[in-house]
Amino acid sequence: MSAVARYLLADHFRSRRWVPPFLLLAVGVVVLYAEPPNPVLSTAGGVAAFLLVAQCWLALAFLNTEGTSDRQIVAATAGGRALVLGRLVGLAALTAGTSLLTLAYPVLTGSFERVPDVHELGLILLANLVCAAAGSALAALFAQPAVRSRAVAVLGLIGALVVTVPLGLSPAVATADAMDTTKIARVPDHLGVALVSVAAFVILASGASAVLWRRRE
Amino acid sequence: MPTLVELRAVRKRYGWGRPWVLRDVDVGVEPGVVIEVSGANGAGKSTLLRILAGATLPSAGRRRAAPEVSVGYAPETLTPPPSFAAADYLGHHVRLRGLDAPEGARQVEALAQTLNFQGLLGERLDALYKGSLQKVALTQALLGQPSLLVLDEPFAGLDIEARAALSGLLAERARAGAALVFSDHREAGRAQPAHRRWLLGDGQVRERALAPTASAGAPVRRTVAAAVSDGELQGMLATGWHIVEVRPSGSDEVDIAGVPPEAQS
Repeated sequence: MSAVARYLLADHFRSRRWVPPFLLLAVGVVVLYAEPPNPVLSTAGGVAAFLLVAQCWLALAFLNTEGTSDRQIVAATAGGRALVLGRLVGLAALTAGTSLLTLAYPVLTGSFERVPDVHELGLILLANLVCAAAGSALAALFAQPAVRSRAVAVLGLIGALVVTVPLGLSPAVATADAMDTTKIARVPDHLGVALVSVAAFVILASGASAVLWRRRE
Repeated sequence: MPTLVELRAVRKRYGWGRPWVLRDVDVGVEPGVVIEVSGANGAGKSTLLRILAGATLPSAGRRRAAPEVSVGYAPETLTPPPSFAAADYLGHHVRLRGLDAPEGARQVEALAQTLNFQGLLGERLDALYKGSLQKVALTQALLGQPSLLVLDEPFAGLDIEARAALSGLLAERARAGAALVFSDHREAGRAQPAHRRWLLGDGQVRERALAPTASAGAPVRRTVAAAVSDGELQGMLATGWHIVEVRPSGSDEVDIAGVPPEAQS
């Protein structure tokens, strides 16, 4: 499983398919932190919400890197279950990586109005993980071989992202609201609700993706 | 004999409302057996091989594999990760097979030497021509001595020396107990003797026993379409076969009996 994840990540990074979505993420983060004063949790909540969108693209690019015949070779060699788990492990590594990078930028550049304490850093990382995991899980449902057409996958992802907002189901909106200290007194309580719902969605989406990836090959 | 892999009542179609490519297929593969899969274009040979290898799931029915079975699978056309050098790509496959790095490197080197592409190991996969890419695909399938080799058109794109080398290598693996299932759409120049033939038509498999692989100089008998028998004969001669007999069989087939190079004393 770890050999599969390592292979898929190596393939993805060499392919440079990560560059366009990563540029979107980098530019978005820089722009969102460019307007001082940047109160710690409120700004980080907005950035986490943006991370969800960028992560959808990053995750879809990762999952769609492999060609069909190469994916089938890995399934035959390592086993279908190991391939699915390897894809999920690789996706989890990517999710953790972007969450950490998104946290690192304002800390290293001193973009916040003051230096955040450890508790706040933990909350920001959690918010980033919640949104990045939601983006990855959503992308997994639209990745090959579950959805073979890239155009259908992109339209489906955009549609899902847009539709969840008026329905009050968007983890991006929930996270941004939970981190907004001008409205929310106890951030951890509200972020906890978003965390639990996203965790449930991630588990369901991972299971559904695993079945779809194997059945649609 | 215990079965390495078996398919029971397997059906496959690519999407709802699409035609069935395979219908109620029941086949089994035992250790050491060599099976040739044949059929017209679009008959479902590649689909059958993919399901047998575990590369894809059937739409209905079951694929049952013995717990100890390890599979080496090479598709008809490899679409490799373009940015990998051949050696890097094969290095990842060494890890996927759970081989340690020195042993994996030794096997890669030996296979590359046998198939004559050791000079291309440093080249990027997208810079390789079809034949060389085919050798890379075959090498990853042969790594780690898998107990089941499933090869889709393994001889396509290979030069005559590489075909002979591969034929010898596969015969050696079969003698060591590995099962081999392969397709080869060309009658002419087919290089691999088989024990059984699965003929695919209308989504179903008809099995036909062939003469056993030659041992100690015993000839292998092959039946080919008369229209391509000259090419088949030339291919066998070019790959070192000793031809014993050629005779008509039925209205449009020819029986060729010969001793393959690995069985000649």
